Amino acid sequence: MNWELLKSRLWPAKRRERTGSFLLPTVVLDMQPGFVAGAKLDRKSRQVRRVAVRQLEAGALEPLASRLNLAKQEVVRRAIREVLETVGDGSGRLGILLPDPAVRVAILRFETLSSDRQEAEALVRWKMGGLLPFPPEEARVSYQVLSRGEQSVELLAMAVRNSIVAEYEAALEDVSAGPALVLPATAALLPLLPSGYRGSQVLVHVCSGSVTTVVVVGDSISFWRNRLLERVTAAEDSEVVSEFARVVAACRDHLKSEIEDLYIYVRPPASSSLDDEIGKVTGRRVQLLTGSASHSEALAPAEKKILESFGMTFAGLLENRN
Amino acid sequence: MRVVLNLAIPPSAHERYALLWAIPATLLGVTGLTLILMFSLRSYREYKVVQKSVDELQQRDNAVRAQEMALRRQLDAPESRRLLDDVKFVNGLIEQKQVSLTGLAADITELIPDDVRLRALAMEPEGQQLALRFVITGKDAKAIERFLSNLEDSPHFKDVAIINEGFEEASTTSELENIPCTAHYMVGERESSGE
Repeated sequence: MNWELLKSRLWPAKRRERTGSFLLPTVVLDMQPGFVAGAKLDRKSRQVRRVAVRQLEAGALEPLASRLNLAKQEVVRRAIREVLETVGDGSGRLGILLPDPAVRVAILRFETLSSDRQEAEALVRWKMGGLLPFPPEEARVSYQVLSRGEQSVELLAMAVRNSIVAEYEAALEDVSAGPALVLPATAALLPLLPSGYRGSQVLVHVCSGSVTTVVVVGDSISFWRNRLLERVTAAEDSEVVSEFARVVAACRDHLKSEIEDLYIYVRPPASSSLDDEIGKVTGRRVQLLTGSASHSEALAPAEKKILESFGMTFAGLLENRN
Repeated sequence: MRVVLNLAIPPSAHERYALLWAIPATLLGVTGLTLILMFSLRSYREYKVVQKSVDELQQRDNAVRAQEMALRRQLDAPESRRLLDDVKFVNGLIEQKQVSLTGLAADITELIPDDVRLRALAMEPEGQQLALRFVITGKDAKAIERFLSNLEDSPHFKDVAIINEGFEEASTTSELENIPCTAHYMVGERESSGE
């Protein structure tokens, strides 16, 4: 008997590859090129119970959208084990926050969108195809409706290559039954932006050699851009500033929107005052992204420091109320 | 801003409820296994009963075979063999119609006077002849002698003799009882004499 054929008939591949919707696991790992951070979350009280971070040696994790990321898988596995030993409870299904460059994000506009999820997903996959450096059928796609008008539907869509996610899942296979949540790290920071704001806000997430800029107008994302920095040195700051200046100009020209509030989160923490430099260029006050103090009430001072420096993504996930 | 995205693939119903399904599946499995064990046990018991019957039959067969062998050995004993040979001979003669029991009886009856009665008659092969033994009872010695004379005169009989010399006279009557006599019956004389 051909079990594979029977399995594929009973359980079609499309159904198996369909992504779910957001849910908050109790343990989340944030895997970035320079470090692995992990936190244990209390979903009921919306608090971070434990948080830990381990540095990764240079070149151990190289985030790319189309090629394998974990150049030194054993190093990453060891860091994951150490983090989970500290935060504990890593036996269930975990959440993974991926480096932004590993995930392609786009704002898509359609005249109409089918209510059938399978059809809509096929349409999104096809539209994302042009933005992906790999065949769209190899992509794992997730999307959410940003706005729905009479003549247009706007979506925030994300795509990641299946083999890339599989690589991260494989790094977790010793300690987890598989991920319950997979998101790019910047997506976890979005809930920390003030809600109910009618103007334009910009979030800049600088993390281990890449910068992600997100423009939020009202409660909707208008722009998402990720760029790998060429130099991870002191000169990185000037690259970030010039990248930010380009984004502001693009918003003004294409979105016809003036940036009002600026939020920045730099990981690992920058030695120089990047926020001041951006403020000088834009002429606006730049605020460091922070979370609610209630999220870190249960933490020891040292862990509070880690949360502020590396773990705002965890605070963002707690803030993302369903 | 609230995010509802998730690039993780949710666990299938199969994975999600695997533990839940495991309980009824295990119960079903255990029930099935118990039923199979019960049927197997019953079949094994039936097999044992049949096996016992077969063993009993085998033992009976062996006993019958042993009995048969004993009988065969008994038949192979010299006295039984001789008896068998005699019977075979007589039967052979009867088969070949050289001797007829009814003819013999008729021949003797023909020769018996009215005052003599034939009480017993036996025959056994003696070479190519038949030795006759008969017991007679006569009214008196004359009647016995007449019968013996008739026998001697008859072409079917020869070598007529009385085995017991002393006549046994009945206490109340003058009859001579149970006088054993022998004679040879001439096999084939009946045909040659034209009777």
